[in-house]
Amino acid sequence: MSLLDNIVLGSEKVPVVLDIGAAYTKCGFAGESCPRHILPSSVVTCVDGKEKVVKFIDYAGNSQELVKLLKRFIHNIFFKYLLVNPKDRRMVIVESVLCPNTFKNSLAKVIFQHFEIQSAMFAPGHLMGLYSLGLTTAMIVDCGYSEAIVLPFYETASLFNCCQVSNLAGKVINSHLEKLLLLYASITYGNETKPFAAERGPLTEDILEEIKVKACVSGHNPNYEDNASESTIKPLPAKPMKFHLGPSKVLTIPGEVRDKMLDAVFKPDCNDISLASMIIDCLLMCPIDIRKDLAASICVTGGCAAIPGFNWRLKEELTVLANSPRYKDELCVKTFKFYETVVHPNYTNWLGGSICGILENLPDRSISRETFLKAEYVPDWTHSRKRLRSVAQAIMKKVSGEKTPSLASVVSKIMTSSAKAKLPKVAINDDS
Amino acid sequence: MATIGIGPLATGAHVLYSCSCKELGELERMYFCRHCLKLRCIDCVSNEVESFFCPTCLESMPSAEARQKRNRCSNCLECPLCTNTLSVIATATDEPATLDNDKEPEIEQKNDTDSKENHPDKEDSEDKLYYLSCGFCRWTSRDIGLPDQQQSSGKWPEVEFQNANKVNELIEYYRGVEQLERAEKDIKIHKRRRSTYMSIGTGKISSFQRRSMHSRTSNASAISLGSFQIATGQKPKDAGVSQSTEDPKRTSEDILEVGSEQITGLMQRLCFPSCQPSKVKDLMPIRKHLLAKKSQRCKILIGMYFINRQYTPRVIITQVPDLLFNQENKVTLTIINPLDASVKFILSPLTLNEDKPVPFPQTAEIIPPEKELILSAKDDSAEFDYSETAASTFNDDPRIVLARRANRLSIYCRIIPKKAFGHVKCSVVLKYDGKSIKKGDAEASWIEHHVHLNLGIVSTKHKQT
Repeated sequence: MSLLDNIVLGSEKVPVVLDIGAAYTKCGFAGESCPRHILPSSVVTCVDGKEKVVKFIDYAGNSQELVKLLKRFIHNIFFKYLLVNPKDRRMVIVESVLCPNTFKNSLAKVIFQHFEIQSAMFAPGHLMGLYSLGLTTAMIVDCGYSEAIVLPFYETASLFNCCQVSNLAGKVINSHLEKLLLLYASITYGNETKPFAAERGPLTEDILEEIKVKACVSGHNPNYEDNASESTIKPLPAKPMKFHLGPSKVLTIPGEVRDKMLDAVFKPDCNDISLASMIIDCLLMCPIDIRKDLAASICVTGGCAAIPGFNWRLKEELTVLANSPRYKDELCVKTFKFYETVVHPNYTNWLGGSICGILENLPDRSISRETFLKAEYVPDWTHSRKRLRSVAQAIMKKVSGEKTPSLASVVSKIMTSSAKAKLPKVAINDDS
Repeated sequence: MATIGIGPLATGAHVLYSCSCKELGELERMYFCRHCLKLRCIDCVSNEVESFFCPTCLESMPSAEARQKRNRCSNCLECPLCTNTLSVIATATDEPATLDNDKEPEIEQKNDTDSKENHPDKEDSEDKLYYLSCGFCRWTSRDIGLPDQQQSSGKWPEVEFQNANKVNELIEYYRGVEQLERAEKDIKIHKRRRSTYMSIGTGKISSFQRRSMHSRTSNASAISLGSFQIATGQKPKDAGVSQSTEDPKRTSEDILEVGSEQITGLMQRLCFPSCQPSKVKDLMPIRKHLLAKKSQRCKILIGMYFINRQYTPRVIITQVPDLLFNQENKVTLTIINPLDASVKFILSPLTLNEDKPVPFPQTAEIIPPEKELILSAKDDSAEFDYSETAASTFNDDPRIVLARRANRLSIYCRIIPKKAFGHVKCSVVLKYDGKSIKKGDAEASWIEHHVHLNLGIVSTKHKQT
């Protein structure tokens, strides 16, 4: 930006808010009500002269390769999508509560060392979800692409010991959809119709995702037949849907498949865990006094919540499960209430980050570039900023002293201290 | 004379250049620093956004305006279905879409004779209406019921975000909470001071402040996730932007009934991050996103601008025969001079220390011509000069040089594949004199680049014979 612009517009730089999800990345500026762009979390690379789309999720363990990909990706975000200079800018990075440290540290390395940003705030996604609702008590169910995490907050305190995690999210729905298509769908070439299993074409993840987005509904409750007394609403059967897979190649998806798609997260084949049972298990782990309040403030965020009728289906499943003999006597909760997200559910977490980024105490909550370059490590959210500083100081002391610490000793030190700090701290007003 | 074309791309053969940081990349992705005379990859370059322009109408936009318009062009529009550029189509008023408007003047004409005379003029000059149409997928702005516009650069409606107010409310709410939190912190600091310095005046104020603040903030507390603390507001009064329901909405019937062509795909939805419409009829024309013109500087020598292809001779693989294992194969390489002056160059095989892992492991031996060769200067007019006078002046050895035209030179290299399978890869050092790049500096006359050639897969023919 030229000098003149700085004079005209003021030199203040709006922080950039970035939420790198497993499937899609949301990017934009703090204080805005929606992200500027939502783009796939992948990079197009050139391998042996051929283009290849690489997803970050596949590289979670390989930090060297990940740094290379992230460099390219963040470069695109700044210079192709947001069109701002990264240098000396503040950033808010919304991350999953279970984000692997390799990913986090690789990202920090890229933004601090390569792009030279001023500071970054690493904000846990669930907390940001709560932020975007303006609530203090809620049960945030983040159901995205690769994982579903249930995390309750009560009176502003996170109950991390009640956290429930599973893979029941978008990716599972996609693979379930593929199975269903092989069983029920048919394919038409001109006048000829065959079952889809016989004429199985290449169904990539992208095509499955597209079918899911267009066809997935929950109008017809599968519990209706089983427990007619529970649900008095008549089923709404979905109509079959036609998809063009190529020239004169039409895939027909029966109406029941459109409904059954969601069974992947609500009625998985192999084990007893479903999205509904995760929520109930989570409630059971919570103290009995607060269960009712939590059950009355469930909020589903993430891409899956955008499926029409997702909350409705979840509520039906919860009601059936709560009255089942397995949970009936223990749970003591009868009604479940749902919060509609203020914005489209797939960027609620981003919105929380956007609100955080505009507040004046952002610098206090962020890690500055200098701190990171000293420590070369981003604390987990179980650590405080003070801890990071003390770790950095400890490392610096050791380095400046005679003995150079082995990496293993430093890491083990951090690990043991982080284990101690793992218990969630409940903030109490010490004035009262 | 043999023609010099672009290399055999179909076989997957390609040329990579080495950056000074050992990274490999195509010449198109490399930058050349005029000052340190080295190639730099994208990571060794510091970028800076300089100005904005629209990729369709190529009009530049001042950064203040670009920021205000959220980096979107005010004139160019994209099709929401296929993101192709939309064109504005003009129609006369007697189109069926505007039939209703035409009826009214007709009635008037019966009563008033004056307007009858004026009417034909109007039709010619003013009564043109415009709508948008996609030349690729045939989408038009009439499909979604947008009214035709009076002006060609008409103000097309944009997607409105209904919940923007709620978000602003939220931000205001958290700002208030933050102020409370800060006031509370100030009191704490005050309290500590009183106890140490025993100041009567401040003590009185602080206790008064504390009491008044306490009544307001007793319900304010902090959300904590581990040690990550964020203040939220008074508990009885949540931000009040969201309500919980006992009956969440189920899939509406209109989604269950319609076909797949009436429901938007994911990428179509994500073009409108704010509302992500699920029905095709809710899609609006997209304003074209701007691009940024970047200034690129060398990270090592801050302040130097540089640009690539004008300084580095380009190596192209022109002809590759069937590459036979452990035999000499004659491969044709073409070298193109981008400089305005004639350049001497020499190719030599690249030898690296075997201990270190190499980014481009060689699987073949290359024997380039040992002689120093001359590339003539780039001359744009020579592209149209078909006389062969230029070639004769250089006295080229026909055993080394296949052809020469203007600033292009095709030479033979001998390749001996050392692996019986896989890609044939070899590296050469391209050394050329850079006198014309850095004038007045005699020492920096030779510039070296490492060029890596992938010549495609080893032929399997020798096994059969």
